Amino acid sequence: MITPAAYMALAREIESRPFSGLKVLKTAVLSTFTADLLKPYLIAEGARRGLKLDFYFAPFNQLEQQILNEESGLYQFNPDVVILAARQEDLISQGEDLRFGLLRLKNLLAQARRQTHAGIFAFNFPGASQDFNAEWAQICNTIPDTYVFDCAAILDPMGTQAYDPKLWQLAKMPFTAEAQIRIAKQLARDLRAYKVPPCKCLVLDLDNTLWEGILGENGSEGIIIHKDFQNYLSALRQRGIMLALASKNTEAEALEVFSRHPHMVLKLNDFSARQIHWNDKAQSLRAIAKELDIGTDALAFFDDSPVEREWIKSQMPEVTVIDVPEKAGEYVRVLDESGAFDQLVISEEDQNRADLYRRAEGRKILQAQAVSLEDFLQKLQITVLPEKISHQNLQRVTQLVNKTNQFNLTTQRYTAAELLPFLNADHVSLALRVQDRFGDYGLVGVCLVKQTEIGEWMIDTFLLSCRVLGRKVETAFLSLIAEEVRQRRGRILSGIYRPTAKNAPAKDFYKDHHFSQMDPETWKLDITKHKIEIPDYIKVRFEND
Amino acid sequence: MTKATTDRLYRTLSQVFGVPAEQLSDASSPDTLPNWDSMTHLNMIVALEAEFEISLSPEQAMEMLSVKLIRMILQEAGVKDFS
Repeated sequence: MITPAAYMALAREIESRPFSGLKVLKTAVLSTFTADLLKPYLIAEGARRGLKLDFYFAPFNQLEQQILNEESGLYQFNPDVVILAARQEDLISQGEDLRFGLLRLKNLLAQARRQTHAGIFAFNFPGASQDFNAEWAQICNTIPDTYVFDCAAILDPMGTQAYDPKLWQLAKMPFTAEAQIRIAKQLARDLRAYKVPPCKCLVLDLDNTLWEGILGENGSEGIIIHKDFQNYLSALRQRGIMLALASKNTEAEALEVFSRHPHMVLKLNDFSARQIHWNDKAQSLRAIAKELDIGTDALAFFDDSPVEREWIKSQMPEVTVIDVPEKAGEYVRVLDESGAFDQLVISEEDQNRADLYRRAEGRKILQAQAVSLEDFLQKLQITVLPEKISHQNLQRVTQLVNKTNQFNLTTQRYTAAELLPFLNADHVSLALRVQDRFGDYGLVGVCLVKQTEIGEWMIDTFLLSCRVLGRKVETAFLSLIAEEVRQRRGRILSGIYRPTAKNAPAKDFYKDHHFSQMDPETWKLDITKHKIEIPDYIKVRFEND
Repeated sequence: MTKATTDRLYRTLSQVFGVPAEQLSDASSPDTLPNWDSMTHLNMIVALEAEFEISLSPEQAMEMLSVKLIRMILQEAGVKDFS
């Protein structure tokens, strides 16, 4: 078992090397939880299966904002694959029927299908009834190139072992490390099946692979047959996967084991081709492919020698080289998990339906189901509740000021004591609470404005927690601030955008609200001439309402 | 403690943050390690829990803001052998 730390080191290493052999797959992840934490596991498990996964993780809980907006980060990323990972409880508000959640997702899938050619993998729902997941599978089946990711099959058997309340509280990541790793393994496997056609032939070594020991040294009495592994290989062959041998051995001695050894499961005629000699294994693999009349990219290679594996990787990057573990007891598991022979099941019916959707008629069906982003936001019933910053909320305000990185115009940090001057009446200091039909986000915005010597009003701090981004809450907040300043007979509102490594989401904030740029970081707006409109789908409720 | 336990801690952190273990000290923190951001911090929590077979509380997880603090909190969480 690889530890989480080792996964992180591995992922770093994979990302840093320009690895020619791996197939690049641009993968966008939309989720109602912080899926970003899966990244190291997915990168490592992807690489083990021949994939270089390039990720775009959308900010969590922005399914509509990403899918319904044609200019969203999702579409700009131009993904090969979109992963939609929603928890059922995040899809509906309290008391609502879970079926509404399915409807919501169905609309999203239909919309995404219109906007992108990417394959779509949609998580099903751990803890849900079989009927519910079956209904979801049926919905996914009606949408071309869309596949269910069977998350329930992974997590349900784990029971409570799959869930970590601490990670949920800290980071909105519901799953334990063990569960995350299992998800990453299966997802990498499914992505491989999507991107890479299944291998047709498994090329096997003999010594320390089909048996324990070295035939040339120990003799046929001194070797121990790996029966479980051979049984598994035999079953693979039943499934139509060809087997072949590539071994550095004396052929006559090796063949004798097949005909004589009492414990051998596989017989010589189970192998469709063999290359047993002392020459280069890359040549052996080419010869096998030629003999079987398949491409070398249809070969998987299983050899206990790390040197041989590296050699094949360097000479034939198209070959699927299995990461053979040191312990023979793990051969079956690792070969199975490699997904080398997996194929995404596509029925004839699916194919026909895909053709239908490509025609105009199909597009019309999708359009009828479509919901615009405006409709969605309208239905969200967003309410913003401004309140003065005071001793009552100072603790939470201090916390936000010191930990908000993304939507933070100046990233100016203050201690609680340093914030006290902003509580004076000559400043405009507002905090913002936000609610919608899914719940109360609590206090998520802070704005501190002070009057300058020349009588202008200067935004010292403007920040919003990333939990409420993508709904124009920031516009409503700025409008409320401008109104406060106007009531104090202020005319010019100025602000600074100070770029950091993390606050790109706030980059165009002043520009988008028609401020004029004075110098590289300063922006000004005459609020007696420009009114900042609050979007009509956002309701404002004041403290004393 | 043993040096062995410290070595285990440093090896784990070295893997999480992508820096050689020799460059780590009690003073290492998000200010000194560029890779130590909020996402990596969470990955670190998970990595430490797996390495030392412990379960941290949310408070402990949030307070681990330097290697020195990590050592103190690991002891508090029942990891023995820290010198």
